[in-house]
Amino acid sequence: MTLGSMCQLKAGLEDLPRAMAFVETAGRHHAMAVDAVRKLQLAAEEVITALDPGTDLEFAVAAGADRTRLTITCHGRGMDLAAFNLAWRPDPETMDTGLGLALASRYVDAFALEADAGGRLVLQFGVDTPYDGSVTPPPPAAPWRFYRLIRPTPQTIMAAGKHLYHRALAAKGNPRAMHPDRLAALTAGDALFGTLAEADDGRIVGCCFCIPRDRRLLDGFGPFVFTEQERRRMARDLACHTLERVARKPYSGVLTTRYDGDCFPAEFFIPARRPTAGPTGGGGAATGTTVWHFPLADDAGGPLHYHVAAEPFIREAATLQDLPRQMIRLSDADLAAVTGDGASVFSTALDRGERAAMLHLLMPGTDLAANADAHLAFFAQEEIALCRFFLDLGRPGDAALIPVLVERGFAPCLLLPGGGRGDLLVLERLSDASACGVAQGGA
Amino acid sequence: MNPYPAMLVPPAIRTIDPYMPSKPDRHLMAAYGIDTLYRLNNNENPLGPPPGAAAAISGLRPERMAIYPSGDAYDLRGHIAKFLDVSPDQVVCGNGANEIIQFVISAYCGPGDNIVTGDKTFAVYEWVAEFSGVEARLTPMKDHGFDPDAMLAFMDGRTKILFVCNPNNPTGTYWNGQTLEAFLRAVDGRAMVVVDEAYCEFVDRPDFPDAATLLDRYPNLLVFRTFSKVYGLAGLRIGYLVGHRDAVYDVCRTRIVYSINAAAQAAAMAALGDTDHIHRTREMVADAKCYLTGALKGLGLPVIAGEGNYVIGGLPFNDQLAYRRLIRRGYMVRTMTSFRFPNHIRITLRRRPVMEGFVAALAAVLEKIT
Repeated sequence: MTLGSMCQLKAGLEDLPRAMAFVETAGRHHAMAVDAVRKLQLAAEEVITALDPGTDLEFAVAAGADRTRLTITCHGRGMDLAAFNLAWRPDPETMDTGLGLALASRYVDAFALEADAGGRLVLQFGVDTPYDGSVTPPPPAAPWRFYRLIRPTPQTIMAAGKHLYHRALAAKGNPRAMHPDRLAALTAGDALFGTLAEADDGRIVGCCFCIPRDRRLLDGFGPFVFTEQERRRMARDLACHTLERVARKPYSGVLTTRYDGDCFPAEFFIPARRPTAGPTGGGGAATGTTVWHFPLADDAGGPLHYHVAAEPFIREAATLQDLPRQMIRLSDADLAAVTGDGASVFSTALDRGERAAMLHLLMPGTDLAANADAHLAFFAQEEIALCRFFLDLGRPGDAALIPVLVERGFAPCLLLPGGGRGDLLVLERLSDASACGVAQGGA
Repeated sequence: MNPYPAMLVPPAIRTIDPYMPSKPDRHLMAAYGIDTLYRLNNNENPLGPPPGAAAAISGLRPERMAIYPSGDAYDLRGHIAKFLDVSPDQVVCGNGANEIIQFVISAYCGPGDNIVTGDKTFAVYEWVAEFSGVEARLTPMKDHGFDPDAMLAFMDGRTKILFVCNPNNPTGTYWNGQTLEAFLRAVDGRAMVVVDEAYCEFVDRPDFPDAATLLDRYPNLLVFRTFSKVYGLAGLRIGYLVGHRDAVYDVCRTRIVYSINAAAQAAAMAALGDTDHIHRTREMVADAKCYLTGALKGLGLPVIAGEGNYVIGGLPFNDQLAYRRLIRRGYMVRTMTSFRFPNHIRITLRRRPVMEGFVAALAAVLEKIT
């Protein structure tokens, strides 16, 4: 990501014109369309006018491979942090207005709330780079004599992208995620690692790649094989090369959700389970689409906090991966002690294009259940199909969320060793109306 | 003052992730709480160097260490030349085969050129090419061996070197003389052909070619050998290259002189051609290989066992996990994801009791996990 520009502002109406001007100038610098700049301005306006006047804010606009982001950072001291929950609403009896992050997030394509290393709150509003919708179909499959394995370049990944884009279109999925221009931009930005199979006539006949996404996890894509010849052999080669390529990178593992099922080399991976959509929102942990995990990092040991609601899954995963852990079970009596006495804050990354929300616990609190309900209601309203919650089991407060989430249809699908301060438990929930093309098998 | 020296690194280099070697044994033993650690990870010779080399090392006088060694390993090159029946001008020595790979790529490749090799072989060919700005064209292995037709298919006018590891590390496959000569004929001098024979002394097969005997007919042929494996001198880092006189002259253009220390030169001189040591090592390896392949198959594991002092075993779980569990039991193996064999481990062959201990440890790991 190239750093664009940055400025210091104060919340309140006084600095509003400066904020608008800053976003407009930065947007122009990044060659953003007028309506895209306007989206960021609306989001910025919502934040700068809602926070206590005089609050120090840091604004930055940066262009990423596939998205331009406005980042607003504030210290958060003395604020009602509950208002930073995406699902928060002002109490109509006691306040006229408030921080409308839900509203602000509607103006943009992606929203994320995080805390930085200094404990400051970081709000990110993203506008997707527009891509040309007229992607030419790839040439029909033709026989090849030999293939070789190459690293993707922005040019070569585009050839693979054509295949994947049209597959996603045919599957009524989200073609934007596989748009050739997007993949090329990610590759150019060193945010896509993988392997392509190139035939002796120069055609790209297969691919497998990883994209860093959630915290220390890599999202794995493929292998995808675009020919009928030697599909299993090529798929194995592509997977072997891709795993080697990321093996020395600072990620905990690869989670592969989209791949060619007929030739996927499952023997290299650990199966993780994905819930299916159902009337309760998808709690059927054992019956969903299989996703696959490949651990990359070594293990230093440490404590693992858990709750009985996910005990079988966690114990099985810890045994399967031979994790040297001090297993600390939280009883219901312990829950109150570890959740503190304030309001909880969930960190949410919302991707409207993908219809997905990624959450983790920013601050434990006594209202975990109510907060979870509010978020789920908000996601239903926003037609979010996939909710993925990351719990850092190195922290007891995170483990306290396990029973809350399980009761609401989240199913544990992956224990990622060392994915956070401790191990990261990934729970997923698919909405009742989730479309089959969203983040499931098949490009 | 530039606060970001990292910006001086060329973009192509910034995409390369550094290789981190494992920590010294004493650190690993402390970390895993073990008293004994058997190194089954680096294909070292547990018998150590031949007696003559051991004596040469013991006889080194400290005062000689104040004097630079021969800059081009003059005496050693003469000794190797005599052993191979070539001229000393046809031999270049280096600080391990890794350095020689660097000499050769530097000598022949420029921006826009490429090398061709297999995808599951000694990774240093590919690494040196990449950080030299040279494209590494990787062709998939066929039945765990180099596919000569695929390698030829991906040659073009910018291909400068074809690397063939014979026998291959880590799969142990080899090209026989017929295949090697057919390949050299097909290349027809359009590119250099490097035959890396680091493990050739372990091979006891009548059809295994001695590539050095082909040098007269193929001036584009370079043969690599090492003292790190059968000669047990891995700690001294010394290897050599033999080729046609003109080709060696070109390699010497980019050679680093004075890179081989005096101890390595002396030990290598004493070690070369110790057939008793080679036979002892071969016998130990053959016995261990026979035992280990049978034992691994008995555990229901797929095995890739060819020539060389190593065997690959496939596992029903992650190789990093296997590493952790085995090292806790005192056995350090090579994880193979980095060789593009996920969920496989490579095991260096050692004497039977060590192998038996290893198999017992692996069986316990398998039982616990599966």
